[in-house]
Amino acid sequence: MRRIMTTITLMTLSIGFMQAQEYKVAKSSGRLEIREVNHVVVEGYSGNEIVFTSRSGKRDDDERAKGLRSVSANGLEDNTNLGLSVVDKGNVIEVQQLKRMDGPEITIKVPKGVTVSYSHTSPHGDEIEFKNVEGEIEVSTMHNGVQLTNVTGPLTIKTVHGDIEGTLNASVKAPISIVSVHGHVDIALPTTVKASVKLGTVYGEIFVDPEFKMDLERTENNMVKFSSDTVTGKINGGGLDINLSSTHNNVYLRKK
Amino acid sequence: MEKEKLESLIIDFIDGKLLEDERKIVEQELMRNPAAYKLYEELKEVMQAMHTASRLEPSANLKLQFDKMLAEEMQQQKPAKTIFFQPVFYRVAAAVLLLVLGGGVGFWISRQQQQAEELRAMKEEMEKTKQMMMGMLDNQESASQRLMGANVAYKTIVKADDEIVNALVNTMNEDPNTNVRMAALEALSKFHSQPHVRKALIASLRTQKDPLVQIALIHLMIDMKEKGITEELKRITTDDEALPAVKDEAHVGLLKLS
Repeated sequence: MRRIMTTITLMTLSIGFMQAQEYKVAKSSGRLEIREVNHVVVEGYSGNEIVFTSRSGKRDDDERAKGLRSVSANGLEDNTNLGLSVVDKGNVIEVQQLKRMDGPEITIKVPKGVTVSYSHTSPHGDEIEFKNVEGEIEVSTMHNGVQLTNVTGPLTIKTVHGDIEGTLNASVKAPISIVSVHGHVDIALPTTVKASVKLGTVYGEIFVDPEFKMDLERTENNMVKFSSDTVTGKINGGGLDINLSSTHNNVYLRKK
Repeated sequence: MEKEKLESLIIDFIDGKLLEDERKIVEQELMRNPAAYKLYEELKEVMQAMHTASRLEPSANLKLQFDKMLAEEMQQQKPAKTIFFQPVFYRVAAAVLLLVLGGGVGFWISRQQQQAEELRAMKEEMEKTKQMMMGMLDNQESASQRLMGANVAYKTIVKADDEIVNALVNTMNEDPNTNVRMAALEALSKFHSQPHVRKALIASLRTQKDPLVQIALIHLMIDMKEKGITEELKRITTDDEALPAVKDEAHVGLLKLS
């Protein structure tokens, strides 16, 4: 019995050590700027520090590198032991990865008041994911898609080749601006939200759930105002500015 | 005898006021001098006439006529009384009119002032909105605030002054966030009929590196039927740095505009 207990304790401890691969910054406000990090999941939580954890596990561990410091050609230093450089510049925290390609899989937990800015231009990496984030999110990517789950906004999201998909929280905050050139934009919204929406596409199509009662914008003569590529209307009388657009692909507005 | 002296003597003689010896002298003179007698005759006539005149009573007819005249005069004075009343009425009317007019003028002035006040309040409001908008556009911390600033410009500002246009142009060309740039472009597109906005939009196409904004700009130019950008579009179609999607739009633009 005692032996079993010790084994369990040891196991939990070792799991704890494995998960202890984390780095914390005590910040509950300001801007978190994530640049060119290939594999990131950002999660909102109600703490007051920004927590970086690696999901890569032991895979990246190198016996030979023990006691050495990882440096990179772009002048970054691995101050987190996660393959990440995290620099606290007061109001702004800059996050970059040391590797040019691939890189660690990182989960970042952010407190409510932190604005998360993610920019990415290389063709490497995955979709960037945001889960339950209750702060402002800024995303600018060239190739990567964006996945949003239960976020509140404000959102300013732009991608050239990526798809943007997401669900917005009922306590959504304006402004919401989501644009893609080649990818589709697929957003789910609670039907109770009061919003002034603008859905645009040039070569794609626009789809809206019929449960959204959309009042299309009208001219002074009470005629529906058509433009070549934008649908402008009000849901539940209008309110929050929501702008969804894709130049070459479709725009979907569905109910949550 | 001198004529004046004789005359006065004769007058006294006629009146019987002369003494005995003087009366004798006058009588002698009258007997002797026909001219004196003639004078005596004339004077006597005049004096008699004067006497009768002093005793003249107005005739009944005259009195009647006078009474009649008086009555008429009095009758005429009655309407004169009403004439006297009418100016009072006029004065009252004039006073009332003046009051109304004064009140009206006062009201008009106050309304004018109120309108001026409202106008000033509106201007102040506009100025406030503008300052708020500029402040938002200038917020380096939050892209969403800058986006809201551009949205405010798009929604509330009717005619953009140079300051607003410059701020929006700056945002469109320099903002690190594409969504904000797009919103600024959208706000500017509302004012594209203003010549300097048009110029700024055309100039932006030359320097814009953001593919989304480039595409949106080319679309706007096509909508504006701006033929002056064909050279620029040609350059984009051969630009190695431009994204294929942007080049496609440039080709579309060239087809539609030329």
